[in-house]
Amino acid sequence: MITLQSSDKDVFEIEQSILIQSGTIKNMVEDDFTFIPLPSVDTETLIKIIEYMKKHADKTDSKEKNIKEFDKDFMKKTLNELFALVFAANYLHISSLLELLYPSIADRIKDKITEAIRQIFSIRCDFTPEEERRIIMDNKWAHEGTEIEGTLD
Amino acid sequence: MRKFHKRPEGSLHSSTTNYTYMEENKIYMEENKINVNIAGSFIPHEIVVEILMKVPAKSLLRFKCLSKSLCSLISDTLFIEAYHQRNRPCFRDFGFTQSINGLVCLWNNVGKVAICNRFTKQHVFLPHQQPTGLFCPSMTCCSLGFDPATKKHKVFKAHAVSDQEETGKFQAIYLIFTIGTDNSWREISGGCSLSFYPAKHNCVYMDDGVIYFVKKLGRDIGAFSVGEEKFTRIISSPDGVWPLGISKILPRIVDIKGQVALVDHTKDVVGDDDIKIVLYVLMNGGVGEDDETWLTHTIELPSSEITELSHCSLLGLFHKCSYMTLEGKNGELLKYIKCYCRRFKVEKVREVVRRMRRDRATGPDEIPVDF
Repeated sequence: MITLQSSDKDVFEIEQSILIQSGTIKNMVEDDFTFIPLPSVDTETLIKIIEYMKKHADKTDSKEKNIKEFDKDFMKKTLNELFALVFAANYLHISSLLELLYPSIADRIKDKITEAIRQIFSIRCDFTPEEERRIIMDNKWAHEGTEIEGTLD
Repeated sequence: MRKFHKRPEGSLHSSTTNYTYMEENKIYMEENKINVNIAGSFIPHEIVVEILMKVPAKSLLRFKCLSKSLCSLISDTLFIEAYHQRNRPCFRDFGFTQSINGLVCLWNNVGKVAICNRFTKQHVFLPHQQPTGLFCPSMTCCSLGFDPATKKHKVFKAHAVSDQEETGKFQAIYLIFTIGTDNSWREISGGCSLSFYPAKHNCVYMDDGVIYFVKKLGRDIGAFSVGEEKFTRIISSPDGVWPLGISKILPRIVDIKGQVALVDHTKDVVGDDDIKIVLYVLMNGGVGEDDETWLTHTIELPSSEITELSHCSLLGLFHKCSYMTLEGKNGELLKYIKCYCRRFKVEKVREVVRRMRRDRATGPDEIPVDF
C-alpha cells in the first residue's frame, strides 16, 4: 500500500498496482518510497485521479465497455476541473488520462466566441482593432457558422 | 537558430510520437510568450499545443485573432505540418479518381465520397447518399469532371440497382453533384439507355469537358459531357479485338497527348512469342461523330525482358507523353519510349515508384495518407 498526500495534507492509502499507471509514482515506488507527497495536487483533484486510476486498473475485455462509459461521464466536468486534471495528470505522467482530456477540452472550447476564450484563459488582446479586423477578414469563412457560443465554462 | 534541447525531467510526457516538434520549439514558444492561464494558473506551452492539435481546423483559424502570439503559433509552418501529421484523414479502401486542377475525389462502396485538395491536403465529404432498395455496392463507380463553361467541378456517380422484378438484372442510376453549388446529389437520366454501366476505375476526363467511360462489359465507350450532364455519344470499341488479353481484363482508357486511347496487352499462348502492348487511339475524322476511328499502335516487348504476363503490370501511362512504364520480371522498371526500351537501375525504380505511390489513396487504418 502506498500513501499519497495532497497539497491540503489529506492522505490516501492505495494499492501499488493501481498507482503504477502514474509514471511519476511508479518511479518513486521503484525507489522504495511508500509515502508520496504531492504538493501540486489538491484533494479534490487527487480524489478524481484516484477514481480514474482505480477504474482503469482492471483492463480486462469485459470491462472495456464499462470503462468507455466511465470515461465519457468522467469528462463531464467544468473546464476548470478538467484543467486541474490536466496539470495533475501531466505531473503524474498518466498518459491515458491526458489522451482523454485533450480532445475533451478541445471539443469544449472549439465553438466558443473569441471574447469567451479570452475571458476564460485571461488572454490579452494585443491587436489593434484594425489588425483584428484584418485577421477576421482573412479567415472569413472560419468565422461564419451557426454553432458559436459564448459560455464561460 | 533553433537548438535541440533534451527533454527535461518532469516535462510533458507526450503520448504521441510527434513530440520532437514540441521539443524543438520549446524555445520558440517561450520566446513568443504565449500567455494562456486558467483559474489563475499558467498553462505550459506544450499543453496549449496539445490541446490546439485536437481543435478542428475551422476553429483554429478563428483563434488566430485571439492574440499576436497565438496567431503566430497557429500560422507557424512547423505547427501546421505537425497538425496535419496528427489530423490526417483515413481513406483506407477508398477508390480515387483522376486529379483535376489539384482536386481528387475519393470514394468507397458505402456511400462516402470526399473531395480532397492535393496541395492543401484538406478534404470535404459530400452528402452521404446510397440508393434505396436493392443495389450492388461493389459496382458503385465515381468519376470527377470539370465543366469548362461554368468552371465547376462535378462528381459523377453510378449505382447498379436491381430492377423492379428482381430478375437479377441491374440497371444504372446516375447521380451528379456540382461542387460549390449543390447541397445534395441530383439524379440524372444520363441521356442514353440505362444499360450503359461504367467499368470501375476505367474512365478518363479530357480537357474538352468530357469524361470517357469504358463500359463494364466492354465493347463500348461512353462519352459523358460534364456540362450537359449526359452521355452524348457511345463509341464502339475497335472491331473484333476486344478484349485482347487472355486474362479478359478490360483495356484501360487513358489520355495520350490529348487523345483518348485504350491500352491493352496480349501474350500469345505459345511459347516465347513477344508480348505486345496495343494502343488504340481514337481519331476524329473531323466532319461528324460518325467519323471516329481507331488508330492502332503496337509495341512489342522482347520476351527476354518479360517472360510472364503475371509479372508484367502496366504501372502507368503518363498523360500527354508517349512512354509507358511496366514492371519487369526482376522488379526493374522498364520504360518504353515509343519503340525502344531503356532499362533503369533498381534504386532509381524505387524512387519513381515511391513517387507514384504517393498519389495512391490506400493506406492502413488510421495511418495518414499522403498525396
